[in-house]
Amino acid sequence: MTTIDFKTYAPIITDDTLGDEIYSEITLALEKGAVEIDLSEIESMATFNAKQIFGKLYLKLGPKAFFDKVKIKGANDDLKTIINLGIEKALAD
Amino acid sequence: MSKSINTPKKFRHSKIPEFLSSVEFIFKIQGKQIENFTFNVKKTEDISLLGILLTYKFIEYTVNKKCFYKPQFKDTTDHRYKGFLNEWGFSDLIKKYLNQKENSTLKNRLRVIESDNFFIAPQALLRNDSSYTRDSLSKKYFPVFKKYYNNDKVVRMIFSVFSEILLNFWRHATEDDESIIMAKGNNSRIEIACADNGNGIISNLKNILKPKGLNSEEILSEAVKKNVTSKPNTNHMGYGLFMFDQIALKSNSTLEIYSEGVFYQRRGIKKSCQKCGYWKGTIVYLSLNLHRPITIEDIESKDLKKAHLINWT
Repeated sequence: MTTIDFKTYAPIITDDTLGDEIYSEITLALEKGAVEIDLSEIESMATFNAKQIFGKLYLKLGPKAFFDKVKIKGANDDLKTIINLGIEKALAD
Repeated sequence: MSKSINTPKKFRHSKIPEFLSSVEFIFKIQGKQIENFTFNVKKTEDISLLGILLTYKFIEYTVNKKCFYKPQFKDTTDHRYKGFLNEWGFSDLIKKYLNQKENSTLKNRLRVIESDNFFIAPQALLRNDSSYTRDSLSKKYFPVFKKYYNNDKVVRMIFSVFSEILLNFWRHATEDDESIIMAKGNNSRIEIACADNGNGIISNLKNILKPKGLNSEEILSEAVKKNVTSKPNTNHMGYGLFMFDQIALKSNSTLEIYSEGVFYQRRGIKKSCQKCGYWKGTIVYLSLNLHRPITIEDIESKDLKKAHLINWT
């Protein structure tokens, strides 16, 4: 499993260019197998980025593969809500 | 047209609508290079966070857009006001702008002031140097909040606000190459303000909401509702202004949005939307009550955290 540590982006993710980079990094890592995304150092994320990264990833992989191949570590309750919001909006659109 | 602007003696937050009315003419005189203009802050003894920000933005806009020819800037003799402008790094910046010299020192001039009781933190947002901005925000600016507020919930509330303000500046104010976000705080309250001269909320939303035939006040009121975005079917979720509004409601805080002649205000449970002086672009101001911090977890249903099967570890 590849671990992608978001600590270089800490404490918040709020940049659409960065969001694209993160998404590419995750999808590249997924080609080798499961991925663990470490959000321990991240305090918050713009909802745009949540949809851009996690919403898009959820649509690409589907719910089962998303659960099996993507582990999200250290997310605080706000991040869990934001990520779920991002996925929900991606599904709704 | 006025040949001078005089900032009020007490340039408090309540004077902002009046200030906007007094400066709105600048958005019609781009390139006119009007002579004999004076910006007079001499009598100002007291100034709010938003007052300083808008003073700077006024000068930046009028210089960049060549509204005046060699305008005069009459500085205050009151050491307290000059102290603020000077300490935040605005005094030199303003002088450089008015002398029409090289103005690329924005990023090197603004500085954070910290004391036991409060901090003041201005930060440049540079579209053409986003890696500087990203670096500066994460390494210098945000650590101030973490260090000052020893409360996870408060820090997360502040960071969630910054997340949405910054993202929206990058994505919506595309005509504005640089702006400033400012924060000033103490143990009870933090003020956060950002102003740009980009497209403005009314211009951005007008076409989307056209079928509804809304006027400007109604458009701005719609802007704070969930899922209302000028860019549907993109990664924009229409959540940022909604989140600010909900935080202000639930924490008994203040949210103000000024854009293109309209002004939305939420103070706790009370809200209003009315006409005001025209400002090209958008001004967002929050004054957050830190005794009752609210984050997105408090805004959304608790069930949302479990809405989708996600492998949290």
